[in-house]
Amino acid sequence: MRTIRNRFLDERTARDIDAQVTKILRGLGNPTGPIELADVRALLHLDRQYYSSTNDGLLRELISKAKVAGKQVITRPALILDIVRKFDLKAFWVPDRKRIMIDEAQPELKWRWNETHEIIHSVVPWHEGVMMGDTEYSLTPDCHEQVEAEANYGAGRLLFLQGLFEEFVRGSKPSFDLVQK
Amino acid sequence: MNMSRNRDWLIRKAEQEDGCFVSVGGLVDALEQATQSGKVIPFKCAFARFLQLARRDRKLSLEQFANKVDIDLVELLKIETDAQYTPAIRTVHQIAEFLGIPERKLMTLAGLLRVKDAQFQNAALRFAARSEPVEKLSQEEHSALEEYVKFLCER
Repeated sequence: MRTIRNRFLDERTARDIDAQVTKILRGLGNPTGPIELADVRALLHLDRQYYSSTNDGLLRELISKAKVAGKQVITRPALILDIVRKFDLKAFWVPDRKRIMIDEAQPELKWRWNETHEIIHSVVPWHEGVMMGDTEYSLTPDCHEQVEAEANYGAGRLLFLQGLFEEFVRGSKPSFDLVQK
Repeated sequence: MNMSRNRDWLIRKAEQEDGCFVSVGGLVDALEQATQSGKVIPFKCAFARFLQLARRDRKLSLEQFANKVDIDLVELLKIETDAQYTPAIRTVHQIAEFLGIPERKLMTLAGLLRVKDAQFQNAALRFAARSEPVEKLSQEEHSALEEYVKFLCER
């Protein structure tokens, strides 16, 4: 099993990510129940497509039309394929296409988290500059850790409606019925 | 069952987990190698120097700069004084916006991105070397230096 290090986000980073999440939730009308990711995608004008890490053909076809930094990736389609394989990506975001790619070979129960994680990448202002797909620059492991930890934080805040879920849990009597609800 | 936890408790627990491995997915080999190397990336000296000069050129104290750019003062101090420190991505993003510098280039200088461009590397090192101050030492600095040289030569 692959591992990354847990990261303690600094106050300003967490605050700014929370501000983006607040904007999304406000755009959705401040829901009190589970959010629909289709609504989030519509709000942010994001596209979602599935690929399979066990079938290169679909991924090749999807990325062949993508451009990176103005250059047609088709001239180096191996770039994204290499990165997907090397880093065993479960999902990724293609900034210039505003497209989220989800690996359908993953268990379906994980798709929601993976997609939300990528949605956060798309709204955090300082993530676009460091997302993959450039032939000149590469991320240091430290930078990658930071970026992933921030996306995980944002995804948690979005899916659990910032403080709302926590309030609900604290205000309820712990029981197995509650967990099942 | 009482499940409430106050903020201080949560912060203490989060700090304990900072830097620990979690099994949620991502890289592993490159991370372990990077954290064990402990190498100082030469760019970072250039980044620290660049930031210092850019700040002083605008006649801003550390505190004023941190406030204007909306970054943490302690972090700014670490960037300018600790060659091993790697800043948060947001911090470099904010600085790049404020100074009007291409974000990726500043991130490379800060040690967050790697670039293959030899020209970039050479320019960074040249800047770091050229921008070191060469003014005459003050009386106090001269005395401290003489004393330290004497100490080093005695052992």
